[in-house]
Amino acid sequence: MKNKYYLKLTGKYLLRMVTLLIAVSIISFLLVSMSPVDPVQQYVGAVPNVSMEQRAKIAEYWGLNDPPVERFFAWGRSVLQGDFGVSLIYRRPVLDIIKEKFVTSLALMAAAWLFSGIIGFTVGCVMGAFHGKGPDKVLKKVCLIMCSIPTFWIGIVFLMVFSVKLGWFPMGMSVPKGVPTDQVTILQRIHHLILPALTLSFLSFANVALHTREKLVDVLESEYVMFAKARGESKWSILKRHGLRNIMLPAVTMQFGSFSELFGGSVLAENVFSYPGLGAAASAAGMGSDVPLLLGITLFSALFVFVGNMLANIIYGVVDPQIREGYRNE
Amino acid sequence: MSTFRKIMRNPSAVVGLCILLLLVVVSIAGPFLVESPYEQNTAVKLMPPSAEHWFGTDDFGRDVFSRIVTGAHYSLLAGFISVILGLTGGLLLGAFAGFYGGLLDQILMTVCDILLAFPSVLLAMAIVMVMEPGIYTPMVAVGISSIPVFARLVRAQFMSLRESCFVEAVRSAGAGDLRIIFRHLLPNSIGPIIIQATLRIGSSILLAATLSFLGLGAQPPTPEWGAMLSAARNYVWTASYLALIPGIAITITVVAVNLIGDALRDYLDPRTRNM
Repeated sequence: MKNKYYLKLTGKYLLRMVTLLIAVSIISFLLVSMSPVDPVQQYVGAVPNVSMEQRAKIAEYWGLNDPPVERFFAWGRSVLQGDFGVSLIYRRPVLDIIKEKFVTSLALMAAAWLFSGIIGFTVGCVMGAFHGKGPDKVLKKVCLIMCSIPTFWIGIVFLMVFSVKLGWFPMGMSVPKGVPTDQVTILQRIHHLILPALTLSFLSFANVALHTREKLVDVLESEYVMFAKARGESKWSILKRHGLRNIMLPAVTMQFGSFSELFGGSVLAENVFSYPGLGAAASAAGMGSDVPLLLGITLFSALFVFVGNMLANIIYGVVDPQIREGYRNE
Repeated sequence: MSTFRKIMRNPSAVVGLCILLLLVVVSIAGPFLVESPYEQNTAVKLMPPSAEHWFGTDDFGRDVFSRIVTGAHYSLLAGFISVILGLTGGLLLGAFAGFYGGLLDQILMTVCDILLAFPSVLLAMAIVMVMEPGIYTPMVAVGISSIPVFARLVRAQFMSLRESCFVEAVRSAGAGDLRIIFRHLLPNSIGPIIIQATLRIGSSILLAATLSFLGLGAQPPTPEWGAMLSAARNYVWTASYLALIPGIAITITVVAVNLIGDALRDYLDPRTRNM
């Protein structure tokens, strides 16, 4: 019985994921074929003496003269076989680049994600608990201002204050210069990670806090909390037993739903700190019109966001017994 | 009028509106009052702020104050143009999807969901790549990328209203679909749409500046704030004011818009109206 239920759930997610990926590839392929950029020119780049015949041959070889639908299926076929093509900027297979860069980015995103989640949730709870009073008003203003600060600018400010003026952190990159990869210690990596991670978490920290505050205020104004007050429960006990439990679920949704903006923010944080991750690769691909790499990263980011939402759904079941029942009865 | 007066009782809204008005005045009148933002003077390269150059000079000896003043209208325009674009597109798509439902609705909402799953920076970057580069490209790209946000919101509003009694009443009085949509459903769902639009202005300004910062929007020597920040990155050692000033300008603009949006939300959202 139980196995059947899990099997059904897995099947549902797989189906949804496949539809999503197909839709994303169609949309992004459409965008790319509308682009005014000439891929042959982009490939040839600055190499002189490439005659018109040679260009025509490259176009012929790549199948650029075929109709778009045919090209889409050709691309789709090779993607299914695990061949995402060769990046024009890095001149290496796209899949290798994505794998390598994602590992670097993952450390950064995970650190920022944990940091903004924990601090944002705590600050949000404080604001909610003091709803309408001094600390709430001050913290809310601070959060509103934080939401209005450009991520890339705060990165530059961090760089100026902590790297240039104080010299506490390195000026960027993910490892020290001139040190072979296998000799880089974990401490050095963390040292390089802190500023970009702070920058990245700055983006979502205020959002998480404001969201948590709103939910907690809702709960604390509900009738069951009024009843708890009437029973003589203390403020702390109400917060612990009614408040926190009821805002866990929206907090989980928010946190796992933020994968998309986390990825978007990493484009900026990595750009400012020259951190060699997937976000920096995405902006490089965008600037250099590196179509194979951009398509690969687009598909990968869709998958990443999907996994985030799926995790949220699974964790719902763990956190909330009511939802677990609901899944089973479906 | 009473709505306006009630909102004006909120001190943060007053502060936001004053800043915004000041910015609008500066962006309209400013360019006529300051010296040319393009005039280079290599004798005064990278001078820190002084009485003569209030915000100092940049690496070409251009007056940063003039550049900030002339650049103000790009950011304000970016906010308004992209929201108007996104709102118009989202309103049309969302209205028809929400009102008629059916297959059209399902297809539109699936596309919206997919587009919303993308990081907004990445989506805007992709749209910029398809279009001709230029100063207005990021504004249009940000606008297009916010269409799904508005479409979803408008659709949800219309879905909840279309079965209500007053719609049935006007329909039996002989009103056509278009009349119901624009004269009855739209005015009744305008509150949340206005809140979303106001708050979206702030994030659109940020996103447009971000695109220019990444080199996908305004190109040098255009005095756009994001592009200025991007150019200032090479001087974090020697001239930190170059990077500080455009960032502060962006932040102040976005804070002003967000303060107004927040006050509007407090007023128009029935849950918080009694606060």
